[in-house]
Amino acid sequence: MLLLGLAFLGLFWWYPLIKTFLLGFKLAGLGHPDEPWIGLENYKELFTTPVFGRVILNTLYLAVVIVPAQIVLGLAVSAVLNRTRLDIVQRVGILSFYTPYILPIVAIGILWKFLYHPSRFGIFNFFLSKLGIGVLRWLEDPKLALTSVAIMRIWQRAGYVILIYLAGLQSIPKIFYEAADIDGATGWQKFRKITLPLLSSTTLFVVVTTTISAFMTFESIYVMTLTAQGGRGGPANATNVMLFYVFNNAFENNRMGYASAAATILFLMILGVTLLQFRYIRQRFEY
Amino acid sequence: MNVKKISAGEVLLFTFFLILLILYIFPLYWMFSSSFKTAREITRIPPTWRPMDFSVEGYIKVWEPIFARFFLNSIIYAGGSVLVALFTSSLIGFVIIIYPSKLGTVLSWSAICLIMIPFTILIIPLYLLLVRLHLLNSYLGMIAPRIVYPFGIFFMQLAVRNIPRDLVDAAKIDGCRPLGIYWRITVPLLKTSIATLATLEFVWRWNELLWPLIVASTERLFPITVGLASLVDPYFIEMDQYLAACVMVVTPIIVMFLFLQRFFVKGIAITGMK
Repeated sequence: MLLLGLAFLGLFWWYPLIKTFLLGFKLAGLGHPDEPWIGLENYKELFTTPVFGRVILNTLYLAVVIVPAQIVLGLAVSAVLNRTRLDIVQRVGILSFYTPYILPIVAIGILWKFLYHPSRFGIFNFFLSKLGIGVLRWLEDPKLALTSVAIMRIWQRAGYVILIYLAGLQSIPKIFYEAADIDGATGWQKFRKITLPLLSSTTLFVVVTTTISAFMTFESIYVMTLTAQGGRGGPANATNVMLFYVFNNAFENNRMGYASAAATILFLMILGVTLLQFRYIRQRFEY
Repeated sequence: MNVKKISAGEVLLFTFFLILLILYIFPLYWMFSSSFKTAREITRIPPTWRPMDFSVEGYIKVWEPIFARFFLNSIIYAGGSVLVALFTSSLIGFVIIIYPSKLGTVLSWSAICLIMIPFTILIIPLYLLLVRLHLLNSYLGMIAPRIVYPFGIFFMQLAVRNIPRDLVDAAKIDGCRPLGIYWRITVPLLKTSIATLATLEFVWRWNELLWPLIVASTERLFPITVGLASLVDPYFIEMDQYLAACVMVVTPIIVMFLFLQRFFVKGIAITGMK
């Protein structure tokens, strides 16, 4: 049983992992069964292609927008949910914030493409024009497209962050707050000096998981950015991110070696974030 | 009873909270309500807050035999993955903890290392591997990488560790065979963990797009996510149909969530899922 388990892990997990690194140095695809070595050619091309620079920046931009927004939203909502004395508020709150997170991004993406519709029956544009701001082109505007995807992701994933923070808040002993009350601390002081520091390991966990999930954005791009003019990832590569670039090169252009090199870089980015977490956990603060 | 006075600040806070909550669920409401509008009403300006001429036209147009097939495929893919992963994960977890061995330790560490590696990174070599095994475009090919599942092994190992060892030892003394211990003692005690893993795995596979998108190349094998994505045309015109399809895809998960809430919540405490 164990041997069989190891064999399967080896064949379907370890072998592909090593093979991804190797393919990065090869010319591979469905027409190249012998996969000739080409050294660093793939990497050379990656770093000299302007589009790939754009792809990396897009990926980092998603993380930079999504992570702080999720933390602020998660902290604020979980703090309110934790304070309420009404059980029903907490239950309904968890239910409504968590639901988008468990739904398929494909469906959520189509829904948001509808909400973002550039015409005035698109509900966001309807509200904006009511407020006198006028109509935006959202996913069709090269400057706004990636932010539009990020907003959808923040909404979709916040429930997860809220639940993690709620668990963190509930594990803080009440006695700290009682002591602070005796000392006459204000609500904001209590939040700054007790809640935030005691939640630091929770926050680290949230930062790491949220960053990784932002790096791995794919489904939303695939569904939301399809246009008649330029296919997906547009307009003008504005929403082309790492995983989409990998997918596109491997399975649309049949350049699997080149795509594997890009996948290796994505893997190193994720590994970096994960290792960061371990470094901090080791020197975690004692309270 | 100690009834505390509610301060004005608190009222303000909860009002804000309530507004946020309503804004938050509005997109989902909008999906359900727009899916019951006619194609004409969806594009009306100003938008109507609820369906004025209630219509199920979108549903009827979408519900073709192939769409039913997408559902069936998803059930086979997600359900099959769950059954296989539950069986292998619990059995391997059981053997690793109850019958410690060098091989077990290797497997256990191997699984832990692999949890940190996103599956998506592996898709290119996996695709080439399926080509060579002639498993492309088949259910087996879709399920293959999840037959032995690192996260499941890790999860089940934690669960088996929490089983009282006395029960297992007593069964050993009574001469119960390993498979008997597994089936009569471990599995019944692991019910909650098994249900949690089953729920998580089912939802993950139901929602997954990229892997089945690569493996399934004919419509006949598309699970619901791939089918839904293929339904949307570049001009995004038949919105009544898209929204109706979205509602149909989303509803089973919402119903599952309402009934199995505690398993969802239990699951997220252990994992940082996507």
